Amino acid sequence: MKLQKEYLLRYTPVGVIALLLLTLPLYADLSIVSLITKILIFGLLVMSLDLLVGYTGLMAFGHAAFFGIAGYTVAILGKHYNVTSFWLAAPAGIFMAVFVACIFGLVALRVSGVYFLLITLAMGQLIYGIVHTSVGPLGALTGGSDGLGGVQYPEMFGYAFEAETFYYFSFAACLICCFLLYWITKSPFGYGLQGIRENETRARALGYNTWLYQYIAFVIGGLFAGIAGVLYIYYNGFISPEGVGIGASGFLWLMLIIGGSGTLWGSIIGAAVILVLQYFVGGLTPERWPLILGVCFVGVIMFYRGGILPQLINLWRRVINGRSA
Amino acid sequence: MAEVLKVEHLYQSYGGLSVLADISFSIEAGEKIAIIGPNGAGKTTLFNVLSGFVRPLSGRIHLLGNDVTHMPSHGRASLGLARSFQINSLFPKLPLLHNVLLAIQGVQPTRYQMIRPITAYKDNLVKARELLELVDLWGESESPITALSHGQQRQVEIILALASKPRLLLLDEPSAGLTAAESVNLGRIIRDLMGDTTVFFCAHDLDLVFSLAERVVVLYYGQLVAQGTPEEIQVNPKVREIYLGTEQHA
Repeated sequence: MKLQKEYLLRYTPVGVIALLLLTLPLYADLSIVSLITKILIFGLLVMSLDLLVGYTGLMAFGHAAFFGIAGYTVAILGKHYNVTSFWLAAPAGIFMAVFVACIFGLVALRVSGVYFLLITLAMGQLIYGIVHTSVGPLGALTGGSDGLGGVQYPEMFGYAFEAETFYYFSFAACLICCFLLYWITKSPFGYGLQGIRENETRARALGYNTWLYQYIAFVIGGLFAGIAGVLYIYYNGFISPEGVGIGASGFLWLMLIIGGSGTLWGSIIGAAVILVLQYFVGGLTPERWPLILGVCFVGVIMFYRGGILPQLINLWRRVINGRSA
Repeated sequence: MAEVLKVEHLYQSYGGLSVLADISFSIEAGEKIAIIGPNGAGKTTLFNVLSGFVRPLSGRIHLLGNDVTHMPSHGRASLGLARSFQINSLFPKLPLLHNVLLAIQGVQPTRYQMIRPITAYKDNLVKARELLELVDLWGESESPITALSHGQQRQVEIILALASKPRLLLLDEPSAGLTAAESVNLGRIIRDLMGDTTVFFCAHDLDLVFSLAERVVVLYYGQLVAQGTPEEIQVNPKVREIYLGTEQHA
């Protein structure tokens, strides 16, 4: 009984957050609901990056590209080919992200370490270059630097989503994806990835085809980034090259490091901290926003090197132990 | 008896330095063979070549009847080759139990499985527990490797190599960095654990060599200079010269 009670106490914050999220549209106004939707989508995206960075030790710096490819695919299908069905456009977007991840992975995984970082950065910029082209047929297709818009909330089974209901849809989709990612990290495959991160030589000696493991992880990362990209384009209705390039990928790294890499759930905390700050501070002083972001980043690096999530867990543990002692 | 390993005319060099020169030997199933030689003799290079981490310049390696000269390390592991490392090569941040589980599942098809948790494979869990109990470390199974002493980590190093029940086990300096007492203890553990596994090991600690090995191979500047039973090697004039020097030099 005592064990059960401790267990309950330990997960109280999780329950409270789940309850707050489930009832969010009842008490929060629409702009907050919209902010939380964005946090969930970016949380999922950063988690997919954490699988590569925190779990496999792959310094992938072009991760926003897969997110952007999925978003652009949905937007292009809707705008130029009149494919507005969610059941066609969403899988197409995810497929494109996975397809490109399959190809990029083959090239990038020929090298490791900082060279891997540079190659993925270059490949991310390649996608940025493609969608940023304003001239010619390519420019007409992607809208160039103006981006592509006009994507409506999806319609399923004759039901058209609105901001609040799409919040629930995103919440459910992100929750499912997060649990899938969590399962992967606890599986034999997931521990294989962590083994490779810790000691690739030993992993090879034990029989692990480390290249194949990293490649599969890279493609899975692309898959979940693609899912996040599809959610984002339906949420935002608009995508521009800024969401694809080095700036966006750097932003994801910032969220990952602030939340805590290698913790999976820390990704959502990192996304929440940065997007909430952006929402409030960025609204007050748009020109000072990068400065404040920089200060936050330096602060976390100096005082909470493992990221915010491990700190929060420690804090909560101390609170519980303080009570029972 | 069946041949587990057959090495033919192996050459390897780093730059202009010849590290292995025309190495040929074979190992029969169940044999315990030690390789000795002074620092720089090429022992670790030979192990790296045999386990697929270094590609030889020329020569052939046959493992259990398969030509593995160009096979990557993980392929050789699947065939039944396992090795330990001279410098601890573990998964430092993972718990001890998961280190052992990773080693057990390394040659199983389930290593690619993504849906069930790693601890759901009860057979592997039982095996891991047996292995850790043999070295009295089951109580530490939840601790990360970094919380273990160097002596304990050396034991884990051996456990990881043995976990996949290899057909051929290569131990690279199993007692490196241990005190004399720890080394004796480790020798006993290896003797208990290896059973009828074929073992090829190298060591500087000659007590360990002569207590475990049935046959000893002597490597000197990349060349095989002698092989024989421990008794023969102990009285071999060439080996005495290598280890003690000749009278002129002394």
